[in-house]
Amino acid sequence: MSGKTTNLPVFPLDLFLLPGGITRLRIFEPRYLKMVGLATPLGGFVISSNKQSTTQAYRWGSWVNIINFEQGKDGVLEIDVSCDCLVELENIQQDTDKLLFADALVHKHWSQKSSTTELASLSGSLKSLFESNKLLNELYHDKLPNNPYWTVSRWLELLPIPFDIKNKFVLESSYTEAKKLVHSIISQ
Amino acid sequence: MVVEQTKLPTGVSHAKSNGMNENIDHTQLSEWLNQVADKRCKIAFTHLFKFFAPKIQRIARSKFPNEAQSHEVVQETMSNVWRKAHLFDANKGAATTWVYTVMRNVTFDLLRKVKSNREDNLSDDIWPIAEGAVTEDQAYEDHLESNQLLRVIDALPEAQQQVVKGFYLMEMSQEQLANHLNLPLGTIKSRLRLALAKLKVQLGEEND
Amino acid sequence: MIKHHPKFELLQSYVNGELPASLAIGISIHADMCPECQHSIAQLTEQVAEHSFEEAPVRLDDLKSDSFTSFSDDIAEDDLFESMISNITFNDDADVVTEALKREVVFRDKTYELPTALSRIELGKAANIGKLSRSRLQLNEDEIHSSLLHINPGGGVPAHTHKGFELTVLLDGSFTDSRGEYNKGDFILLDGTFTHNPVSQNGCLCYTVANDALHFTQGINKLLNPIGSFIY
Repeated sequence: MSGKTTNLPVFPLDLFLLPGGITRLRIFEPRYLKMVGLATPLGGFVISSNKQSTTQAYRWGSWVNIINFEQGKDGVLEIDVSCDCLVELENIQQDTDKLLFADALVHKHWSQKSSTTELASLSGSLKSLFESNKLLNELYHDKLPNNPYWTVSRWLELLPIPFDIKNKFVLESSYTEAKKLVHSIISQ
Repeated sequence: MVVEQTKLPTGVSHAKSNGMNENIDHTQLSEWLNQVADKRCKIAFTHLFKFFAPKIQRIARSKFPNEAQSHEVVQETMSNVWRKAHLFDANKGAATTWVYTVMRNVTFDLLRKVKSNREDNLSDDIWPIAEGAVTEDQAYEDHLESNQLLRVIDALPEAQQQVVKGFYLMEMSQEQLANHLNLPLGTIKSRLRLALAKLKVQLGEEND
Repeated sequence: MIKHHPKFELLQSYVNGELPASLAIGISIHADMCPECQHSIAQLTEQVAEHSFEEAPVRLDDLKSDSFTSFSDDIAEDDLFESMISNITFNDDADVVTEALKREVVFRDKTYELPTALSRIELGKAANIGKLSRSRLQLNEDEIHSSLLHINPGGGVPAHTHKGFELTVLLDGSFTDSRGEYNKGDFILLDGTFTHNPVSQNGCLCYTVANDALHFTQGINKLLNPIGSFIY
């Protein structure tokens, strides 16, 4: 691997999150509380799913930043994290608190692109979903860009399709395939 | 001194051969499972599917009133057979016993999901499908280990809890999607199936 | 030495997958420690598997109903099966297997390794009364409660009975009641007619399942009835 790497804590979580995606996490284990503490000085942490295949060329993760936090009703720390970019991970190590760290190299992905061509049906449908879902509404504050890449990325996160399929949209296939897939399910 | 080698059939093996059904070709089934495990052979899998799926469907229909759920049992069981075939060990028992275990576990988890609304998939912990081993969705890949990186699997029980409690599930269920699009669940399911099948063709073309 | 085992019928229901998770877990824990029951379970599984996958006997009813409608059903089913096969084999990846992991639990400064069957069930905070500690297992089975019950050396559960059933599997240590001594691995299923007063000289850890609060039966202990629901 060439290029500049950053050493970051890794949170193993079976979550598919692309750049621009926001999610809410509950943090209760000591090592992950420690991770949250480290996140600000280190510049975030990486969420990486263990469902990735043994055969793929590299292990990837979502580099996230904490954008909000509060204590949940049951006293558990809740943080909202937003994904900035995808990263390739290597040299994964575990510290004495069993917290994982890895060298992360930024991996460019179509979900970071932007365009002004609107995908009317997909973004309309997404908008109405966000309006009807309290949590999504809270996380995104109604700020839904009209960027088609953004829209397809959110749909890909939300659709109930197996992780290994979603995984392919990071590893091999393009935005066009992802768009076709979302389209064929959402608007027919 | 010559030891008498000829033995009368023992009670056990006699009973066993009687218990084994003659209309099931156990050797063939084991062979197919091994081909699936070693070569990821789709033809062998199709044979297995044609042998087991209708029978699984029949059994599932007796446990679930709903046809979609019995299809789910077939789909889930055969999908586990495909993904876990390498855990089958012909020396430890018949292929039918192994597939039965997989089916029973899938059925148990689905019944628990329907009755107690719990998706904790406890069955493989209660009835391990391979001795001394668990299949771990959460496991880190072999290539991490072969790189002599730390065995992070220690972290697993907690990691599993994270999966249950660590984040608010963003991914919609098929039911939610059906509701949102105001379409019948069956339509959503077949759309998803179709979309994934199409995708396979597209990716296949690209990989050539 | 294990002296108490699940009955044959219970093993059969276990193999068939018909028991509630709590009881299936109890049998799984026992069988882990008991080669005898392991053997019976293996045999029963082989038999029921054979039976499940033999060709369905052709019945007269089936022949009669062999009409055009069932023919078209078959075609629909073939289509469904074809699409299942292609969905399943779409991805070549096999599941990664690791060694079973051991989860540990601490009661009153003593660490215990939990059986595999309990390795991923959420465990409630331990509540303590005297020499007893109890942690609920979050199985969500309505009226059936499953717990880990720890008794410190010299402790015991006051004489009690149940309206329903009470299962105890000894994970570690031993206890005695009027019927004798119970040791690690013993599977003790009692119904509501039995009153007992288990005492543990050297301490023990049990997996317990009960479908109703226990009911204390003796003199002063009747005052304890409100905590009956606490223990099991």
